[in-house]
Amino acid sequence: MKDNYLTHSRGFLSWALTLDHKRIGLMYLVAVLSSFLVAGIMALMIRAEHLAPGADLVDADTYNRLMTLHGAIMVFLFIIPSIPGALGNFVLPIMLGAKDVAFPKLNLCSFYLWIVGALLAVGSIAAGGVDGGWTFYTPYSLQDGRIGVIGMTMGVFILGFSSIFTGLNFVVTIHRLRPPGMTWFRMPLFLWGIYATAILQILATPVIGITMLLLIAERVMGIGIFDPALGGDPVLFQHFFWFYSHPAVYIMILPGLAIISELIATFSHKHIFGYSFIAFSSVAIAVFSFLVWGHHMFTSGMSPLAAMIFSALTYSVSIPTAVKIFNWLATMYKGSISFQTPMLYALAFIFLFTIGGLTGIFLGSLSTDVHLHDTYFVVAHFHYVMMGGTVIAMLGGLHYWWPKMTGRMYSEFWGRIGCLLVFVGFNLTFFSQFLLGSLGMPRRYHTYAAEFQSIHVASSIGSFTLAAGLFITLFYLVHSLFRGAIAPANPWGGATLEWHCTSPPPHDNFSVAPTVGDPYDYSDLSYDPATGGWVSKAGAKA
Amino acid sequence: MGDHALPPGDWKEGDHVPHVVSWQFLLGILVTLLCLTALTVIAAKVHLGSTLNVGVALAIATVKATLVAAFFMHLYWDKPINTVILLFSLALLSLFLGFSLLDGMQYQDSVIKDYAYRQMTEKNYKGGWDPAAALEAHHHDAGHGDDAGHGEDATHGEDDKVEDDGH
Amino acid sequence: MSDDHGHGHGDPNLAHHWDTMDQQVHAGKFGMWLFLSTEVLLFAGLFCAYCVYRGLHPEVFAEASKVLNWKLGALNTVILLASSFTMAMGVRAAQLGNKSQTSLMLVLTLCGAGGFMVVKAIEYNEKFEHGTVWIGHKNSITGDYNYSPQDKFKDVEYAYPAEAAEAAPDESEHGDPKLAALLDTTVTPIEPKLGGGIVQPGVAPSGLASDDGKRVTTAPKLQNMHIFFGIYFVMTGTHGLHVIIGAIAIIWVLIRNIRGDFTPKYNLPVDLVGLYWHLVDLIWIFLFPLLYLINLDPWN
Repeated sequence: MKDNYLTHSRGFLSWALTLDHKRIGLMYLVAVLSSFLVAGIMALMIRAEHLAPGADLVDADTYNRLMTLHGAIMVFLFIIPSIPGALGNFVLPIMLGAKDVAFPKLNLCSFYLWIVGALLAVGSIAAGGVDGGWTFYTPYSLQDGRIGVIGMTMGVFILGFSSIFTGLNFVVTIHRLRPPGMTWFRMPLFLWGIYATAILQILATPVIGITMLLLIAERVMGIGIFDPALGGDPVLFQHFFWFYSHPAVYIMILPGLAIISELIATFSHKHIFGYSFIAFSSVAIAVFSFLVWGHHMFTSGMSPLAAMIFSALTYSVSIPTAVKIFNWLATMYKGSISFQTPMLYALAFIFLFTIGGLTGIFLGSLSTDVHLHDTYFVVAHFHYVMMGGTVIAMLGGLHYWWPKMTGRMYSEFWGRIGCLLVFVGFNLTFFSQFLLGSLGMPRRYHTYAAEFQSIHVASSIGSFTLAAGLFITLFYLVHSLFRGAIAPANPWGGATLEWHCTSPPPHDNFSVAPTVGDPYDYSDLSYDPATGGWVSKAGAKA
Repeated sequence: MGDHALPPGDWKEGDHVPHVVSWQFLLGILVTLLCLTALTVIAAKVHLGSTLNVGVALAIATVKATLVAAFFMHLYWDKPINTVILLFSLALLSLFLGFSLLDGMQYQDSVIKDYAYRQMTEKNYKGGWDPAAALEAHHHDAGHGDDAGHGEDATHGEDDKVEDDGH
Repeated sequence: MSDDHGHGHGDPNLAHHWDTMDQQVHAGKFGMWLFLSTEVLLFAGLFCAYCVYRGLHPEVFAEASKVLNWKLGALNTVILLASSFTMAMGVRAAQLGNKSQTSLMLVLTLCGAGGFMVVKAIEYNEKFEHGTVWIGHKNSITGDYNYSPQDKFKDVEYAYPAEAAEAAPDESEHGDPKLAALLDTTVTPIEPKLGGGIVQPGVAPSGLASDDGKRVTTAPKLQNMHIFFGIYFVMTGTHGLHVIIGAIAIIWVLIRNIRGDFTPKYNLPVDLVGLYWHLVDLIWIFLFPLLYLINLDPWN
C-alpha cells in the first residue's frame, strides 16, 4: 500500500499525541468497542441469570450492580460517543473535503477526556454502591454507603465534556471548513445528521453536567434540593436528569439515521429522494428533542398538566423520523439495489427502528404508559431504537467505511452470516420483552414470577444468538486486517468525497483539492472488475 | 464608536483585520454599567412586592448583560451567528426553567409541606408519624372536598404522639 | 517522530487546515461562543434550582437573604465590571500591537479577579463564623436543629405559644424545649405563597411580643432555610471556580504576551480568553440581584 495515514509516522507517541482526525477516530473506535464488549458481557450475565426465576447465578446486590453498570457503560461510554467519535471523526473532514477538523488539539483532548471519564466510571464499580439503575434517581442515589455514586457521576461529568468538545469541533468544522462549491445543500446527509447531533451535544450535555455536580453537592453538603428528607424535590432531579437524557437519545440515533441515508443511496445506486426533507428533518428532530423530556416522568408525580403537554409534544417528534423512512423507501424504489453487508444492516435498521419508534408511541400516550412504565416493554422499546437502531447503523457504517479506514475488504460471506445472526438474535431477545412487559414483568427486577419464565428463556436464547453474531463479526473484521483483500478506492460505488481518495487515505486526506459535485449523483460511476471498485467513467480520478 | 484606522502592519488579502474600539467608548460603557448597578440597588430598596421587584432587577440585569455582550464581547460587530448561539442557549434556559417551574407549581398540592422536618425530628421523637395519614389530613384541612373515601379514615389521627409502636 | 500537521504556508500561526487567518480567527471566535453557550446552560441548571425553590419558598429566601452582606456583593459587582473593562482594553491593546499596555491591562484584570476572590473569602468566612452554614438540616457550627442562627437573626425572635411548649412532651434527645414545641401540630408551618409578598414579621397575631422590642413571629420555624444557603454556596462556588479558571487562562495569555506571541494580525487567544472573562462577569450580573437583593431594608 502507498503511504497513508497509518504508515505516515510510527511509534506509540505518534498515535498518543496525534492530531490526525483519522487516527483519533480509530482510537475512539477501539475504545468504544471495548466498552461495548464489557457492557455486553454484563448483559449476557443478566440474561443468563434470567433463565430461571430465582436467584441462581448472582445475588440481588450483584444483579443490581450489573444492570446499573450495563446501562451506564452502554449509554455514557459506548453509544453516545460511538458514531460521532469513531466514524464521525474519521469520515467528516474527508467527506467535507477538508484537511482536518476545525480544532485538532481539542479533538485529541476530547479523546483523553473519554479515557479519564471511562476510568473513573469503571473504577467506581469497585467502590460499590452504584446499583440504582443508570438514571441515579434520588433519594436512593444519595443514601449513605453509595460512595461509588460520586465516582460514577464525576466520570459522567468528564465524559460530558468529551462529548461537548466533539460536538463543538464538528459544528465549527461544518460551518467553516466547507470547500468552495459545497453549499449547505450540497453536503452529504451524513454531515447534516452529525451537525444536528453536534448541536445537541453542545446544548444538552451541560445540563447533565450540572445535574451530576448538584447530585454530588447534595450528597456531600446536603443542600436540600433533591432529597425530600432535606426539604428537596426528587421530581426536580428527574426534570434535570431528563432534560439532557432525552436529547441524549437523539444524540444516539441521529448519527445512525445519517449513516442509513448514505447506505440506502449508495446501495440503491440512485439519487437520494427528498434531500432537503431529510436534511431538515435532522434539524427538526434536534429541536423537538428538547421539548419532550417529561415523557420519561409520567408516573413520577409530575403534574397532569405538564404530563399532557409533554405527551402531545412527544407525538410531534415521530413526524420528522417518519419523513426520513419514507424518503429512504422512495429512494430504493426503482433503484438498482445490491445486497452487500452494509445494505443488509441498513435494511435491518429500517425494520427494527420502525418497530422501536412505533412502540414509543404506546409509551408516549399517558393512559398506556401508566401500565407499561418501568416494565420490560420500555426495555424492549429502547433496545429496539438504541440497539436495533444505533448499533445496527453503526455496524452498517463500520462495514461501509471499513475498506476506507483499513484498506482491506472483509469476507462478504461471513458478513452476511453475522448480520443474519444479529438480526435473528436481536428480534428473539427483545420482541419477547415486549410480551413480557405487556404481561406485567417489571424491569430491573432480580427475580420474577414463574409464569414469565418461558418468555425469559426465549429472550436469553436470543441474546446468546445475538452475541454469537457479534463475536463472528468481530472475528472476521479483525481477520480482514491481516488477510483481507486490498481495498480499492471506491468499493461500493459511493459518490461522496471520501471515495475520491485512496483506501486508506493519505495523511492530508487529499493530495489535490477535490471538485465538489452532487454527493448522490451516481451517473458518472461504473464498476471496474479489474480493481473490484468503482471508477469515474470520465476516467479522471481525484 | 470605533477606530477606523488600521492597526500597524502590512495588511494583505486574507488577514484578519481586527475591529478596534475606542477606549472612550469602552469607558462610557463601564460608567453606564456602574450606574445601572447603583440603580439595581436603589430599586431593590423600594418594595414593590416580590414579583415586581424581581422583574425590575432582572430587567436591569438584562440591560447590563446586553451591554457587556454587545460591546465588551464585540457581538455588535461580529458575525450574527455568534449572537444566534447566545440567544438560542438563553431560549433553552427559559424552556428548562419554565417547564420545571410550571410542573413544580402544579404538583404542590400533593407535597407534604413539612416532610423534611418530620423526617428529621422523627429520629428524636418516639411518636411515630404516618406520612399517608398526614397527607390525607392535609387534604382534608385544605378542603379538597372530593376525597369522599378519605372521610372514613377517622382512626388515623394527625399526630398520635402517645401511640407506642416501638419506634 | 510525532504525527503533527505542518504549518506550510506563510504565517506560523496559521494552522495548515485553514486557508486564511481571517477564516481561522472567525472559526476560533465561533467555537468560543459555542463553548460559552455550554457555560450558560451549565448555570441554567443552577438558576432553575434557584427559580423553583424561590418560587416555592419565597419567605425562606427573603429571610435568609438578609444574612448576606449586599454591600460586599455590590463591591464584587463593581470589581468584576471594572475587570471586564480592563479585559476589553487589554484585547484592544493587543489588537493595536501594544505589548506593554496589553500586559498592564491583563494584570489589572487579574487584580480584579484576585479582589473578587478576596471579598468572596471574607464573605464565606463571615458565614462560617456566624454559623450560617447548614449542612443538611443541622447547623454545622452549633450542631443543633434550630433554624435560627445565633448572630444574624438577632432582630427576629421566634416565640412559641407557651401552651404548646407545655402540651408537647419533651421526648427529644436534645431535651430542647424549643425543639419539642416545634413538634406540636397546633403550631402550623407557614404555607408558602407562590410569588407572594416579602414576609415582614411584626407583632404576632396571637398578641405575643418580646420585651425588648424585637420583631416577633409565631412562625416557629422557617423550614428549609438551608436550601437557600445550599443554593447560594453552590451558585457562588461554581461561579468562583470559573473566576479561578478564568484567572489561570489570563495568566497563560499574559505569559504568551510577554513572550511576544501576539501581533495585530494574530491576537486570537487574548480575544478568546476575554470572551470567557466577560461571561464570568455576565453570570455575576445576574447572581448579584437574585441572591443579595431579595429583601433589602427599605429606605429610611
